[in-house]
This record gives sequence, C-alpha cells and structure tokens, in this order.
Amino acid sequence: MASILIPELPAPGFSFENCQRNSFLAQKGFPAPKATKTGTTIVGIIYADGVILGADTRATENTVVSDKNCQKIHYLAANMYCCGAGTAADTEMTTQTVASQLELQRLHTGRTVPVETASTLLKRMLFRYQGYIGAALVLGGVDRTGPHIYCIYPHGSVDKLPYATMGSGSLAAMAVFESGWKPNLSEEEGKKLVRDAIAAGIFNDLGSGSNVDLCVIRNSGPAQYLRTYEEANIKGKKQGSYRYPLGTTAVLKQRVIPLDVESVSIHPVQPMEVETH
Amino acid sequence: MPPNVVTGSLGATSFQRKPAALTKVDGDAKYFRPGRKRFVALSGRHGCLSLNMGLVRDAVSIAPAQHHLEEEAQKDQKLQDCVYVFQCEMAASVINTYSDPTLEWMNTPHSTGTSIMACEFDGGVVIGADSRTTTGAYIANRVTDKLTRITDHIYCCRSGSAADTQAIADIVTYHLNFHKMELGEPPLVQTAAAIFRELCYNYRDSLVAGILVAGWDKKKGGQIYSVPIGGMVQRQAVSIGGSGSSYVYGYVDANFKPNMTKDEAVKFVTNTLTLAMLRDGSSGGVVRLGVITEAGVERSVILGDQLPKFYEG
Repeated sequence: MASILIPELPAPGFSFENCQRNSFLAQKGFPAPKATKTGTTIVGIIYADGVILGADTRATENTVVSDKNCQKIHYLAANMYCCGAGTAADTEMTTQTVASQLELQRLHTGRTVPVETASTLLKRMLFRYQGYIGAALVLGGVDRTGPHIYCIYPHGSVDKLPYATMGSGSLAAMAVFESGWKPNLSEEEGKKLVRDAIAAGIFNDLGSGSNVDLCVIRNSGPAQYLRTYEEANIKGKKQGSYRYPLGTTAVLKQRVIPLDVESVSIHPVQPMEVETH
Repeated sequence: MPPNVVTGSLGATSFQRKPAALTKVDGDAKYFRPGRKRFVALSGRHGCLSLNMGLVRDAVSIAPAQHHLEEEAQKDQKLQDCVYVFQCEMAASVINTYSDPTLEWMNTPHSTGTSIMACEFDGGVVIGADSRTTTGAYIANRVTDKLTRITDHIYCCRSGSAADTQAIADIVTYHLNFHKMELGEPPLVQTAAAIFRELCYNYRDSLVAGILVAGWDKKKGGQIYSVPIGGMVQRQAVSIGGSGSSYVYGYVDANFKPNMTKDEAVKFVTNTLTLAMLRDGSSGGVVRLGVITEAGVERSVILGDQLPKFYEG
C-alpha cells in the first residue's frame, strides 16, 4: 500500500518490453509516429540580480510548424523555471512531474526548494530512461545560495554554467553569448542579450522561429514571465484579395424551398438531484 | 575507406540470441541494442578492437543484417576481408538511438572526450584534467570540472560518457558516505575504488566510464586506482586516461620518477595534460588540478594563456 510517507518506488531500470515489438513493426512497414519536436533555441543567463531565461516559440513536426506560439518555458516552482528543447511531450511531462515533486518537498520541509534539488530530480529521472526521454533542459532559478543555471541533457548529464544555450539554435545563440556576456549585467542589458541570442536562433535556424519569450527570476520578488516579449516574426499583410463583389456573376434563376415543420414538442428538463451541503 | 563491418549470427551454438533487425543509416553507427551482447566483424585493417569509445564509434559502420554469414562470405570476395569476429559488448550509451541526421547534437551522447591524469608524490597525490565536454563536434561545456569530490580526501577523475560517470560518482559518494558513518572514520581509497569497480564491472554492458580514483588515507598514504572501461581495478603510481592519454604515454613513461616533491609532481601533470590537449581534439580548455594530502585538497586552475609552451610548428 503506497502512502505519502512511503511512496511506491518504481521498478528500477528502463522497461524494454516494447522495443522488440517496435522494431518488428518498423520492419513490416509501420514506423513509429513522428513526435512533435521543439526545434528550438533556449537560453539562460545569470545576471546581477538573478537569472533570465529565454526561448523561441516554434514547435515542429519534421519540416512543418505544428505550433506557431507554444510555451517552452515551464513552471517548476515559484523560484525556478525550466526551458525545454527536444520532444515536446517529453519536456512538458518531465517538467510537470518534477514540479509536483518539488511542491511536495516544499510542503514537507516548509522551505524554498534549492535549484540543485530540481536538477538532481531531473537528471536522475533522465538517466534512468537512458536518453529515451528526449528532453534537453535549461533550468534556471534562485535560492538562498544565489542564482543558478543548469544545462540538463537527455542522457542525464548536467553542466552548471553562468550562461547556457540548448536546442538546434544553440550554436547561433552561444555565439551571441560568447561575445556579449559579462559578469554582473544589469537587468536591461541582460534582457537585451537574451533577446539577441534568441533572435539569432530564430533567424538563423530553421527549427526555431516566431516570438521571443522571456522569464526574469530575481533574487527577491516574484518571477516575471514575459510571454511574447517580442514578436520577431509578424505575419505579412496580404497584398491582393480574392473577394469578388456581389453582382460579378449574373443570377439567372432563383427558387426558394420552405422547410415544412411537422411537429414541435417541448420537454422541460429536470435538474439532477444532487446533495448540497 | 571505413572498414567493412557486418553484424550477424555466426553459428547459433556460440551465441544465445539472434540480433534484432538493423536499420542502415548513413555515416556513423546508429544501431540500438540495449545492454545485450552483440557482435561486430571488423575487417583485417582493424585487427584489434579497442574499447576506447572514440575508436569504436568512428570505426564502426553498419551494413544491413546478413544471416548465414559464412555462405555469404564464400560468395562475396569483399566479405572475406572480414576475418576477425569479436563478440563485443557495446555500451548502449555509445550507440545513437535516434537516426535523424539534422539533430546530431541531440543524438550524440554527451561525452567527456578528455585527458585525465593522476600522479603520486611524496605525501599525497596530484590529480588533473582538461575541461572540455563534447556532444559530437560541438563543445557543450568548455569549463567542465571533471575532478569530482567523493569524500574530503578521495576524488575521482571522470572520462567517457558524462551522464554515466556523473551518475556513478553520485552513487559511490552515497555509499561511501554511509560506509563512513558506519565505520566511524574516514574511508580508505581502496574501498572507494572497490565500489567504483562493483558498479563499472557489473554494469559494464550499459556503461561507458573510465575513472581514476585518487586520494589519501591513513593506512597507505597517497594512492591511485585506475578503473577503466570494463571494470578492472589496478593500483598505479601514475595513471593517465581519456582519449587524449594515447598521445602522452611516451612522455609519461620517460619523465615519471617515484617520490617526487609536490611541485615537481604538479609541473609533471601540467606538462602532460598540456601536451595531450595540444594533440587531442576532444580535450582542451583549461587544466584543473587538485593536490590531495593529509590536510585535504587544494584545487587550482591553469587558464589557457598560462599553460606551458611547447613546440607547435
């Protein structure tokens, strides 16, 4: 019997039950369905008063954009957010699972959860699944020891850095950081740097696009999630119009067929009996 | 010309399981088979299969699965080149799992290309490592710390897959912490090496981890235990590891002297790592050092421009 204090531990190791079946099906001509990937540019920096996370908003299914304005910065706790690149479902579910575990810890201990805890929970889970969960994350947050940025890879390794980029647009964004980042940036400088890095990813990487989302987490005070900080790609206005004015085509004949109403019946609906306290 | 590599079953009696179907993908090895034995045949040119991760990954390219290899070999002249057959336990983390070439960075396991080294001196040990972590050809972290603390007096140098070595180091730290509490005194370096070995040997099918365990304890002073891929343990006075180590075996053999002073040992380690970083593409960045003695550990970093200068043409 599982309880809050003694939770049921999952069986260790990854379950390979379906691997043989999947390879058999692929062989017979039924390949696995394509997962929505978040092509992506995600970044995080430490600045003077905390951390700033940034992400683009394009989700792709191979070469088709499946979501033009998706949210890649996920809530983990009041003091930490996590950007996710890779398979959209994996990043979404992984961050939700860890967010709930963090909330339980916060309630059990009565303290703000340190960012390192989130990093440990994420990496232990991803290592258990040996890279099959395609979630590459940039975790950023602030705790009593200061601001932190962690880069977490799908196989379960973690890098702790002052500035990090992940995703297909990471090389473009890293180029911006390597030339522009310095310690103790002001908030305006930091936001501009992150915006420039995401823009570099959006305009130079096919897997990233649409808008720039930012999230500023300060050492004190609530986190500020700036959804659509900048609309980098505004859809152009249509130059021409296919609407034809009324009367362009001549009306030759007109016939109106009225619908015969056979019968009308009204049934009053009885509300369901429910107990009310 | 990459060597001709074919996987297949050679005589049902020698192997218990037939391999699963393969998908041929262009370029690098992209075949997944988690944790089970599989076999590769290498052409005569690569007579000796080295389980150095870099070498295996680059050398192997997979052709579609062919059953009845012997009959095929008779018919096809080219296949007769595939003389040597090795049963090879491939670590799952070495083989790519997705086969989308555009997302190379995501498919390639995060590896610490690496040059690591540990050297005994009179009174303790000196450990050192480079600072480069690569994901394929991209340097994911140019300031990595590969010298991981296990206890105050025992450190490990990590090479191989970053995920695997981080996880193993965490587990060993946990076990040793518990052991220390039961024992009531600081644990022995030999114990740490034994726990590393338990993990690295028993899970050798699924791990790619080459580790140097180094530290100081009251019983035997400064010690270094090398735990390479496969999980053997060997105590050595000086030990090098990682992909960059291949280039500096000669330098180490020629220049190591037993019972050096601390400064001599630090200089020796710095020089060796610098030479390895100059020649190995997967190693670079800064040199991180640690000196472990009875008093504890002293960490230091030598930045790129302060590294010793050698002939570079």
